[in-house]
Amino acid sequence: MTLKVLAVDDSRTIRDMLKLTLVEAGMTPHLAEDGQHGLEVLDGLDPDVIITDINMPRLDGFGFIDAVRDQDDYKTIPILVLTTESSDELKAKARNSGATGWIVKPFDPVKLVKALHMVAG
Amino acid sequence: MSDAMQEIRDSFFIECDELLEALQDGLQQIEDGSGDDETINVVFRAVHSIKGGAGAFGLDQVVGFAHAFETALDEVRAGNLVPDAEAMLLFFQCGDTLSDIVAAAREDSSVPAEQIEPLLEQLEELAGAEDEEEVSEEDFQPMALSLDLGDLGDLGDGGLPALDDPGDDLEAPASGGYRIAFMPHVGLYSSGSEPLFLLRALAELGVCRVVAHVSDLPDLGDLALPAAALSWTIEIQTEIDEAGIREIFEFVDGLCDLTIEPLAAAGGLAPPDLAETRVPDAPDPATYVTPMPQTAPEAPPADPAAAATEASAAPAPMTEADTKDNGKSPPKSPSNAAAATAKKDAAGAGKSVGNASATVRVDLERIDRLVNLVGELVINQAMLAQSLTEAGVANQTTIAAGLDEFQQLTRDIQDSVMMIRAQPVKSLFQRMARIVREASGDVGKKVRLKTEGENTEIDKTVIERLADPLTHMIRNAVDHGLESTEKRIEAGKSAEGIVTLSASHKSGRVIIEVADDGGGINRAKVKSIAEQKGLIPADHELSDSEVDNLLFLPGFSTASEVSNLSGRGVGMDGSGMRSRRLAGGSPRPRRRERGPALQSRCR
Repeated sequence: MTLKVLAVDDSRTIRDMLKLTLVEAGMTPHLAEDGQHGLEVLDGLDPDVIITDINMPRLDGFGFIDAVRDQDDYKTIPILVLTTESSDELKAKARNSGATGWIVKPFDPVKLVKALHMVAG
Repeated sequence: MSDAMQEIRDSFFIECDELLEALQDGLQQIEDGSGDDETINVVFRAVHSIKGGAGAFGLDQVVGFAHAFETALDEVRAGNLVPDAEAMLLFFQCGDTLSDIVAAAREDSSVPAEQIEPLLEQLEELAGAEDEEEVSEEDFQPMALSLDLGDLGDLGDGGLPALDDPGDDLEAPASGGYRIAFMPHVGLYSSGSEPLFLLRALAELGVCRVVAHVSDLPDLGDLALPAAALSWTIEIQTEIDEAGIREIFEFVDGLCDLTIEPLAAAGGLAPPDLAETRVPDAPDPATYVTPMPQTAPEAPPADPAAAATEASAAPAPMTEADTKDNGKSPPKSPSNAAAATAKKDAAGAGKSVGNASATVRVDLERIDRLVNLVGELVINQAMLAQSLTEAGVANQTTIAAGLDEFQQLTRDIQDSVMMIRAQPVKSLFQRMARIVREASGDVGKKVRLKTEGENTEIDKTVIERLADPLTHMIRNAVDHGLESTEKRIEAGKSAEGIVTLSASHKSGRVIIEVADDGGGINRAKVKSIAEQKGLIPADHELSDSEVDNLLFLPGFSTASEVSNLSGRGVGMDGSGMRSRRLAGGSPRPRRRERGPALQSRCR
């Protein structure tokens, strides 16, 4: 199965890396530049999994996850948070915001793909 | 580094330039008081994004410095720190140094530690001792990113192994394994986790026997969502340690009951506890016992399509050692090759990505080539017009009309092409802000740079060549143009001197002006020094503008001492020479009500 992945990050470099990694892993990436843009791209997309950064302009990762979980179609969609910290506090915050899991930046492509399969099949 | 990664690396440094500009902009706004609540977030994100990207390329110095910088900025963002003038100066210095570190990293080099360490100490002091500990934590580990997904084996294409795949080889090793009791809570499901995928991931680690406990499952009519009524006991035969098993459940830690116990050494896989597997009317409780095979990788089939099929039926094992050691990965499995079509599709889909951006990045060489070609076109158009005139046919109505239109189009194309290369002078002005900071620090004056017209666009190559003369002019303004703080106060001026840098369009040219609110040019002194140095004959009559232009003579300086900044009579001469190269004219001293100004005109 080809996973359809929505990846949201305001850093062009990280978006480029995500795209490269996902395409390399046979997945279909859809990219967005911030939370607001992510919601626009999500509209009608029906992805299998979402990856999102936290610190972003307009709408940050926590606000984005809230807005995604508010939609009936996406109440249980797996969402991985991209974070530069691996502290328990941040993990707990990500969890409380409705995230399924977390990926620590800079991400290891192998671990990222493994985590995506872990949450989305 | 692969071509793709090299491309991303190049793009990263371009992004860094943009982020550093946003950083300087934001800091300036905070200092001016012209920002809003979002400004500090913009500043923080700029540093944070530089750190994030740099980590992926193993740029340790960038990561380390950006991390300390963002930690201090985070204190401001959180409202724990209100930056005073000293803190703002530190932030500006850190922005400058971060810019240096990024520039060095671009050249695979680094900035000397002695430039960085004092700033790091000040940042740590500013952020507070508590946060210092956080900075030194392993929270953010830079690493060089490799996009070799070979270790994923079939995982990269077909996902984790199917849970219900029957296997031929269920003979388990006699020892080494765990019994795992896994009972999800409701929160596990609502967070988007799926037990099935976790079980599949476990099956990656060894031979599994899974028992689903369905006794708590209510009748369908009584089922109220969200609900968590299922639990599993998994017996896994594996060489992986307990930490490896727990890693699978990392995302659901706290969202399930999980116990992991070593299997009895002599017992091997215990028979399923069928007593717990009670399903009303189930024909055979064993239906819910699913052996999960872990099969050895098979010889590559000749038919790639067959390989793809096998990938989902019999996944290659992925060991802990494999996942940890990218460099020793086995060759990509044939299923990866078989999935080429899927990848192509995915790549195709990826092409639509990024449509949101209204800009494209083009290599400067390509634009230069376009500019040169258009230059040739303009010359050819002129030669054609000349030939037609000489042939006496240029006045014929149809030819004249066509020629006019051709000429107009050629000019339009030339203007459009030149506009592609035009850039706002903002980045140049930001560099000058740094010059002012450093120069004012060196001479112990309080100086503020005021910029105007920073969105004025000039050809990129001109911007680059303006940096040097402007640097000299700015240093000169700070060192000679502005009086000392004491003299300013005596003269009833504000203690802080102002250097104004402005850009504007006028009659098809761009006027760059450096002005200061100092005491102005002391013409008597200028003339006297010029006479002493033998640059002009004694008692020679000169107009004011002629006296002003003496400033640009080689070796001329009004400074009584040579400092690090100026006094050798090189700067203004250099500015004049470069300005002449750029625009065919020297910078012009311009009389102002308060202090002098120098104009540089660019075509």
